[in-house]
Amino acid sequence: MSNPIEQRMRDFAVALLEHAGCLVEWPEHQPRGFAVLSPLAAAALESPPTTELSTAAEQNGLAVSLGSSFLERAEGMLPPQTSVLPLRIDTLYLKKSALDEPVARTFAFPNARIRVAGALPQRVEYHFWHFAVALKSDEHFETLLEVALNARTGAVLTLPDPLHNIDARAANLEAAAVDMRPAVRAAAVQLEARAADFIQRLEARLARDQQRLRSYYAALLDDADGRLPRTEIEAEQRAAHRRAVQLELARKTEELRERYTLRPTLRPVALVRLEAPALAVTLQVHRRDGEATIRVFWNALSKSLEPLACGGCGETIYCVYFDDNFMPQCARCAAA
Amino acid sequence: MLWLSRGVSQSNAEEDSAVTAGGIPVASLAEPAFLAAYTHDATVVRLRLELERLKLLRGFDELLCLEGLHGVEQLPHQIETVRKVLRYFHGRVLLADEVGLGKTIEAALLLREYLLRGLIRRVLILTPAPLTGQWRDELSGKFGLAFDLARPGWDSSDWASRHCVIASLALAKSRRHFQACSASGWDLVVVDEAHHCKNRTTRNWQLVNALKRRHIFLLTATPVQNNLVELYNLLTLLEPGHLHTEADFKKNFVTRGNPRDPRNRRVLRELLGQVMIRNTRGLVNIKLPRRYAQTYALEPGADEAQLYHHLDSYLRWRCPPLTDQVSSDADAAEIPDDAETEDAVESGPLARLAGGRLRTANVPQPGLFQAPPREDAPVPPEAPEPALPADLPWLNRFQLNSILMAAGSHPRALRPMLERLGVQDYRAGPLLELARGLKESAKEKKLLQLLAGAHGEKVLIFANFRATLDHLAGLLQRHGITFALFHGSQSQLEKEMAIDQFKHAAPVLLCSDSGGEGFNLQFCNTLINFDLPWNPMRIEQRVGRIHRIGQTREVFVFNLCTRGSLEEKILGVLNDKLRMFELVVGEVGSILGNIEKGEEFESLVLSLWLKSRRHEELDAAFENLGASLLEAQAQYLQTRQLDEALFGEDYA
Repeated sequence: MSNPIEQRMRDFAVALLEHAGCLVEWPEHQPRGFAVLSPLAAAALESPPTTELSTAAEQNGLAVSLGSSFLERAEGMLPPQTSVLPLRIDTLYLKKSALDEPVARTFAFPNARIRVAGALPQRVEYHFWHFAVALKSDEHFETLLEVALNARTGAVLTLPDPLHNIDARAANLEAAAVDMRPAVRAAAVQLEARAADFIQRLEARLARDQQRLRSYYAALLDDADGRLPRTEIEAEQRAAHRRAVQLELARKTEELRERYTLRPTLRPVALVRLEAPALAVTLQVHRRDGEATIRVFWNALSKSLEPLACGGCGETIYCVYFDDNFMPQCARCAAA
Repeated sequence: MLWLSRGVSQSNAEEDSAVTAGGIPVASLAEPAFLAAYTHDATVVRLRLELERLKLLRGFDELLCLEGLHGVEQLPHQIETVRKVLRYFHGRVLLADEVGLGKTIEAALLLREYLLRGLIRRVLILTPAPLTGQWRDELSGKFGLAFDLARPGWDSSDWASRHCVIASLALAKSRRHFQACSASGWDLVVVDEAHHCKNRTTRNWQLVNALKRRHIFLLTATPVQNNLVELYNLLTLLEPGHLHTEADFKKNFVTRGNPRDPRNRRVLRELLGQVMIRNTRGLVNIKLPRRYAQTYALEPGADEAQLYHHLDSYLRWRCPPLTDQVSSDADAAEIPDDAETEDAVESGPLARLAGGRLRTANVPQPGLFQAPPREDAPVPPEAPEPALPADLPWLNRFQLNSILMAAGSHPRALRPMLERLGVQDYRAGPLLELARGLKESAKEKKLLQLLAGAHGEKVLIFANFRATLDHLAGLLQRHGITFALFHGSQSQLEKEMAIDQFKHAAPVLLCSDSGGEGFNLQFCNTLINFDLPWNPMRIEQRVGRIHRIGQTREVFVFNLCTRGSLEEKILGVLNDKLRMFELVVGEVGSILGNIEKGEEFESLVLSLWLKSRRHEELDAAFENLGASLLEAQAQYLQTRQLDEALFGEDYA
C-alpha cells in the first residue's frame, strides 16, 4: 500500500469494524486484509459475515476505497444525528496573580472606565463544533469547519482539540438545549475566508457571462435601430421589438443571477461539550453616570483572557464598546 | 461586511440583500436542524469526523496534490481547473489554456492527485522530443513524481513493466515501439502539445488512438490550427463519438465552403464544454508589467578576436564531413539525456570531449566569432594542418556545442576545454595560450558600467558556466561590488541563504541557469544576460525569474554579446525579428514549434554554423532563419486568432 489515502482508508475501516465488534486482521501497509463481521456490520456493509478487505476496487471481497460504496455503507454503522460527546476536566491551573494588568493589556474599552472587581474559579462549558459546510452555485464547494466557543458568552476561541490534545474524561452533562447560533455565525465567517478563491472565480465567470449577455442584446438592439422607420406601424413594431429585447435581457440576467446564487448549507456533524475550570473575572464598568458589572473569563486551556462577543452581531471582540444598557458591542454596532 | 455571515445575522432585511463583493447573490443560511445523539464514546465522534473527511476527499474538494510541492506557484485558476477536471470531466479532458497560463502545471497537479488517491498507477506522458527532459525534471523536482524516460533500446517488457513513463512522440510512434507502447495498458495518458495529433492520417494520431487507456489529458493552446476538423480529430481521441462521425460533424457544425467557420455555435459550445477547459488571460486576470530589452553588441579586443578566429578555424578542421554532422530531430530524441546542464559543464565537458560521448538535448550553447584577425593581434597559434591525422577523432555535435557555448560565455569557461583538447592534440596548445593571455573582455567592461548605473536597483546576472560565474565573482570582488552567488551545485540551504542575501543585503545576484527557479525574485526588475543560451526557451526561463506574477514594476533585460558572435546573430533573429522580449511567456515555444519540422532551435543554429564556411554564408543563413521565424510567428498568430474567435472565454 503506497499512498496515504489507501492507508487512511485502511485505518478507518479497521477502526470502524473493530468498534462495531468485528474481528479484523489487516496488517499496516498491506493492500489486503480479512474480517469476520458482526451481524449489524455485515448488514450495513451488505457483505457476507467473513470477507476479504482490499484497497483495490477490482479485488474480490469488500473494497475499501474512495471509488467504492464503502463510505456510504459505513455511514449506516454510525448514528445519523449529530454526535454529542460530553467531557470534563476536573482540575487545571488557574491564575492567581492580579488581573488588572492582563485585562488592560488584552481589552480596550473606548467609551467606559473599567476596574477589576475580583475573580472567582468557576466551571465553564466550552463547545467544540464540527460542521460540514457547502456552497452550491454553478459549481460547488465543500469543506469541514471547526468552531470552539464559550457556551456562556458565545465568544469564539482558539483552543486545543479536546479529542486529541486534552486529557479529558467522559462527563454526565445534562442534555440541555444548546444555542448553535454563535457557532453558525463563526462558521459562516470561516467559510467566507476558506472559499475566497472559489468565490473570486465564480465572480469572474458571472461578470463574463453578464458582459456577454449585455453585448449580445445590445447588438440585437443595434440591428433593430439600423434603419429609420418609414411608417407609424413600423415605429410601433420597432418599439415593441425593443421592449421585447429588453425584457428578454432582464429575464436572462435574472436567470443568470439565479444560476450563480450561492446557496450555503451547514450541517453539524459533531459537538464536544467540555466542562472545564476557568476564572470568572468581574469587571466594574463606569459609563456616563451609570455603572454595572460584566464578566470575562480567564481560560485555563489557552492561559489567557477570553474575548467577549458583541451583543449586536455576535462578533468576537477585544475592543469593547458599551451601549446605555451596558451591553458589550463591536465598533460597528456601537456606531450604528 | 462579510457576505455570508450577514446572511446569518439577526436582520431579515439584511439577509435578503446579501451579495458578494463581485455581485453574486447569497441565499440566507438557514439555521440547521440539530438532532443530538449523545454518546460517551469519543471513538464514535472520531470515526464520524474521519468519515466526513474521507467523503470530502472523494468529492475532490480537498485536494491532496497541493501538499509537498516544491517551487510551484499555485494560481487559483489552476486549482479550479484541477477540481473541475476531477469532478466533472472524469479524467478525460482537453486542457486548452492560453499560452503561459500553466497547462503543464494543471496536468501535473491532476496527475499527482490521481496518483495520491490511488486512482491510477500506470501513466504515460507523450511530449515532443525536446520537452521530455523538462517534463521529467519538473515532475521530479517540483511534484515529487519519479518518471522513467523511454529509451530507444527498450523492448516490450520495459514498456510493460514501467509504471510511470515519459516518451517522445517520435520515439513512441516509431516502428520499433508503436506496438509495445500501445499494447501496454495505461491508466492515464497525457499528450503534451496535442495539436501534433490534429491529423487522423498521421502516426501521432494513430498512436494516441491506439493506446489502451482509462483517462487521457490532451494539452494544447491551439486546438484548431487550420480547420475545425482538427478539433474533431482531437476530441475523437478524448471521447470517440462525442461529435458523432466526421461527416455528421461537418454537416452540423462546419459552414460549407469555410472550414474555419463553425455553425450551430450554441450546440457546439455545449458539446465542447463537456470535454474542454480553456482559461484565458482576460478571465484569470493575469496582467504583467511591460518588459524592455536592450542588447549590447560589443566590439571585441584584438586578442579576443584573434582567439575566436583561430578557434573557429580549428573547430572546423576537427569537424567531420557535413553529411555526418547534421543529425535529425528524431536522432536527437533518442540521445540519452540524463545530466543537468551544469553537471555537463561542471563535471568537465573535457571528460566528454575525450570520451566522445554524444549529447545534445538541454545543452545551452555559445557563439563564435566570424571576424577576421586584426593586424595588431598577438602571435597567432599554429595553423591547423589541412587533413585530420588518422589518430585524431572528429569532434561530434555535443563537443562542438560545448566548446562554442563556452567561447560565447567567456574565455575562462573555454580554458579547461582547450586544456583537454591540448592533451589530445598539441595544435590546440596555442589557442589555450591565447585564452590564458586575455585580460578584461568587452562584456566585462560593459557589465561594470551597467552595474555602476543601476542606482541601487537589484540586478540579477545570468551566466551559463560555473567558470564564468567564478570569474565574474572575482571581478565584482575586485571592484568592491557586493553580490550573492547562486548555482546548481549548492545545497538548498545555501541557495536560500543566497536569495536572502540578495533580497536584503547584496545588490547583485550572480546566477547560473538552474538558478532561482521556485524562488520569488520579483523584488528585482533588472536582469543581465552575461552570456546567452542558444535555446530561446532558456532565455525565456531566465527572464521569467523576475517577469512573473507578483512583479509590479517594468522589467529591464540587458543582453551582452560580442560583435560578430553567434550570440549576436541569435539575438538578431530572436529580438529584432521575433521581438521575443515583447511576447507573452510561452509564445516563443509555440512559434518555434512551427519551424523546421520541430528541429530544436539550438540544433538549428549549430547546423547553420556547420553549413556556413564563410562569414557571408552565415549571415545569409541567419537571414533565412529570421524569415522562417517570421513565417512561423505569422502562422502562430493566425492560429491564435482563430482559436480566440472560436473559443473566446467560454470554456473556463
